[in-house]
Amino acid sequence: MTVARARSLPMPFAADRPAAALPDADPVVPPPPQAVAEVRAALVVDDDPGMLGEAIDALAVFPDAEVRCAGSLAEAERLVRRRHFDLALVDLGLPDGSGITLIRRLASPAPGIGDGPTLCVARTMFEDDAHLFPALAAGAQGYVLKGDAPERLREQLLAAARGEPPISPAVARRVLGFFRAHPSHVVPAGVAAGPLSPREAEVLRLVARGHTVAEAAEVLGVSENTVKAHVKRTYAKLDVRTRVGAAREARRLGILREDDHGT
Amino acid sequence: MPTPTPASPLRALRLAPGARLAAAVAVCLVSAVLCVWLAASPPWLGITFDAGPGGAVPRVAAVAGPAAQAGVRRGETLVALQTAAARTPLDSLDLLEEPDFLDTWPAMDAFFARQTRLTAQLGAPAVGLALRDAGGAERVVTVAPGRRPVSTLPLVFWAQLVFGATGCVIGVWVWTLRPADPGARVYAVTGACFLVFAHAASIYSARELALPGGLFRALSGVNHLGADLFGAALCALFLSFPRPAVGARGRALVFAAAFLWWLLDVTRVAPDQNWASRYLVMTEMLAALALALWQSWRARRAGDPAARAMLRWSGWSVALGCGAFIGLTQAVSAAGRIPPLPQGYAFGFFVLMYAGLALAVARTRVFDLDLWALRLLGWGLGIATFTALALYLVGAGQAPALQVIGLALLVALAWAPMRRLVWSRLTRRGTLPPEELVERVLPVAFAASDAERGARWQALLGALFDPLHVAALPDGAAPTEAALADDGLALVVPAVASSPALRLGHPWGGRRLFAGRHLALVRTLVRLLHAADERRRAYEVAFERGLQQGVQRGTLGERTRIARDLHDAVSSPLLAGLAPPAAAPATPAGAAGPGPDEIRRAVQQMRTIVSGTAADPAPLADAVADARYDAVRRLRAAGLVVEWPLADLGPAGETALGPEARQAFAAFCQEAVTNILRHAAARHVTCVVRTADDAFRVEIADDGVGFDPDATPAGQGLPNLHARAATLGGRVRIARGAGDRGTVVHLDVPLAAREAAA
Repeated sequence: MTVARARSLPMPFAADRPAAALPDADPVVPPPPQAVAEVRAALVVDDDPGMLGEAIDALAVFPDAEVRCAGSLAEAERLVRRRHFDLALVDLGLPDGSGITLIRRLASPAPGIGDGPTLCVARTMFEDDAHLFPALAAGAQGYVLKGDAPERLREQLLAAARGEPPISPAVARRVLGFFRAHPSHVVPAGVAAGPLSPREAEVLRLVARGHTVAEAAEVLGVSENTVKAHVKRTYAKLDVRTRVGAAREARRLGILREDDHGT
Repeated sequence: MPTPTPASPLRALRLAPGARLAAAVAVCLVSAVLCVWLAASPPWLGITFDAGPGGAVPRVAAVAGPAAQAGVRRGETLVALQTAAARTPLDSLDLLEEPDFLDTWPAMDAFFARQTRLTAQLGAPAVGLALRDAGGAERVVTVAPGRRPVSTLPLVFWAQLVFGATGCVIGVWVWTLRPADPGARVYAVTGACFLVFAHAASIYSARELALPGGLFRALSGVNHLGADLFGAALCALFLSFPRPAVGARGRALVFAAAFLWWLLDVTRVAPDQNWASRYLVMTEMLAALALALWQSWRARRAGDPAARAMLRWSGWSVALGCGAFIGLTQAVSAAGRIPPLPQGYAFGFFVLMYAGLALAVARTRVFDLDLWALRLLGWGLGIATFTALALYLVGAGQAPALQVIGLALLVALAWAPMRRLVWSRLTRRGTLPPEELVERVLPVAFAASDAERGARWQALLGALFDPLHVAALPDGAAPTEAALADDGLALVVPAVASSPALRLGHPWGGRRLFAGRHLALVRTLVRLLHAADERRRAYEVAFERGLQQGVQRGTLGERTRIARDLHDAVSSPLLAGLAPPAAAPATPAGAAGPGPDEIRRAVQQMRTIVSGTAADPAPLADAVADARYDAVRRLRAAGLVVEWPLADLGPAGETALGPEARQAFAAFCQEAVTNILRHAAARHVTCVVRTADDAFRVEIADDGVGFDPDATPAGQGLPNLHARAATLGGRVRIARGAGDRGTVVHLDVPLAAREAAA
């Protein structure tokens, strides 16, 4: 293991200097119990029977939920055409394609169709940007890694049902890094995915330093929902950027033509 | 009248489609001109009548022409017509729009006789009108009837001309599309019959007061002939559409029966109007509906979704059009009452039926009709709704024109966006934005093996169209380009992506048909796949060459490749071992094979290797931020009060931690929080992280039940805490909290020692 010291200045314990403490949420008042969305129908999409089993066990956190399973994208799409699901746990690497398309469809269904959006939690082997960003951009409410402890999975499912945005300091750092590394020139004129607004960037920076969403809201003097909205908008920009980026890349490779619209 | 009709009906069959349609339009125009001429020919006073107070005597609703010159005033009632020879008292029955509303032959004869007498009186150079005003005073005004200007013919007259012509033209239009189809031919006959009965009725419904009785009776007979044959044609239609059930002879029999019945009607052998025409027309309509249902049942049994789709259209159209007409006119008269809507307007319901039927018939040939069919129907329904509302307002509320125009605007404004919504919802299916096209195609093109590519391609087609069956086509029958087959029941796809050519049958579970835009989508996908295939092959060739030359590949491509290989070859079986069958007992300690924790750690390590960013060293401050976020979130979600000040860690916060150390630190904090949640029954948790240049310390304190560190058995996560600390090169100390309450976990990691160890 390589460990490097970036700087080495003699310094007393940081906590000994009270001025350095950052504003924090008032710790005395206990937070109100958070409402958990009712989950009556849940969908698990995974081609691995072992993973399916683990997911079904974890979905026991929703005692009222009726659980359906699909082993492929096609099977899942057949199921979601027939009925509404409150929550879906979707493997991203399915034998017949990426679960991203399914998440995108479930998380923001076409207006007027069905019973509104489905809470989606992405589940994958990989935690690199190439898997994480498209999932967040598609509207995933949670992101769990295969091989995480079962209680971790249960927690993520509950967090998604509580409406917690799918963000963590690590994710915030990576999203900030993405926007830093991809200035807005990738985005064609007229597409609403400009750079991050100062407020969006500030939310990401606060979370990156370890603030929870509630604490970030307090620091900024706004409501928790406003912070969630900032996160959502950030991911929407991410969506346009990753999608436009993918299409650009495909055009560059000569796979997609300028006039391709699939109609 | 020079009518350009062909010498024999058979000759018409040999006309080119355009000429046939033009001929139909010409016939409609000639018929309309004839109607206008007949309607305008009787002597004209210039008065528009309505049913007077109590409905007993005709009242002057509007005055123009000769009557206006003679001084007839609005609101007066017309008591009688008188000439030197005779005086004929009037009643409201003389204004009857349709003689069919009379039930018995004597009543009809009397009506026609009065019409003849009134016409004769109006034919005199001057006629006296006995008028009574609202006060009851009576006077006689002498009027010289003139020729009726065409512009004074009422709206209901023009409506019937337009309705009849529309039905006829649509019928012939469908016939020109499908000349060989007996269904289409019978359908054109219904249009012709509709023209006949609507135009015949238009003449007598447009009369001012009277028509010569003989002409009136003849027109009524023609109207009956058209209506009777129209019903027969509807029955014949559903005997031959969409699946022929009887031959030409059977259809002729239906027409012959209706014609014979009509002979009983015009010769007055039938006892009364009910038997002469009403029962026949109602029976025909009900029979047509029953036949449509029967056809639907047949199509379902034969597994013919195209026929069922067409029947849904036509069945509903007939039910809506005929049902509304019969319900509002025939059934009401049979029950002995006056219909609420002028019959001329009620003919409009048949036009709705024509729109729907036309689409149903034409759809068997032109696939894209299914969408614009709905568009047309939506438009028709919008018009119908508006017309009904406007008629209601004008009729019942006497609404001024301005209000009606306002209503029209309102309906138009509300209707347009609604229609667009429905439309976009209908068209959204089967279209994909370019980004999604790429997302869909790339996994197919870059699947690891030929077999998997084929499987993914078939799965993609399945997800897009949900066909009931998919069959591989032999090489001989393979198309070079995607194409529709069996009138849209199937779509053939050429060989691509290591998959043989395919035939997709019965899309969307057999509920819909393939249309042109689905074909376009498949063609685009096939082209994209070919392009991607080429790229992949070029890449593979280059990769081989690169390997031979010992050239280092780009790290990103390499990583993705390794990641896929790992996932497919190593991780999945490993992870499968994590979830043993529920019945099997957990692996006993010391048994052969790795335990769940070892597997998880192995997977995490692999993930760290393949995922780019996570493998790089990262500052300690980030690791603390991650741990804090996770702990605060979990504890607060459980209802605990958490105090974890976000302290500036100073330069020591920049200390770089490798992935293993970060993992260990995160796991340490997670375990500590888990222990508090599981065992401590705490309400309040405080955590402090301090750094110095040579160490960082973490202190996690709770106010829970606490425990005796010496007496607590292992297996409550404590050994794990020690293991994590050891990985970090640090030490754990677990103690009672201040005042002997709760527990405090201390983690002490000397940074200098770690640097030395590195």
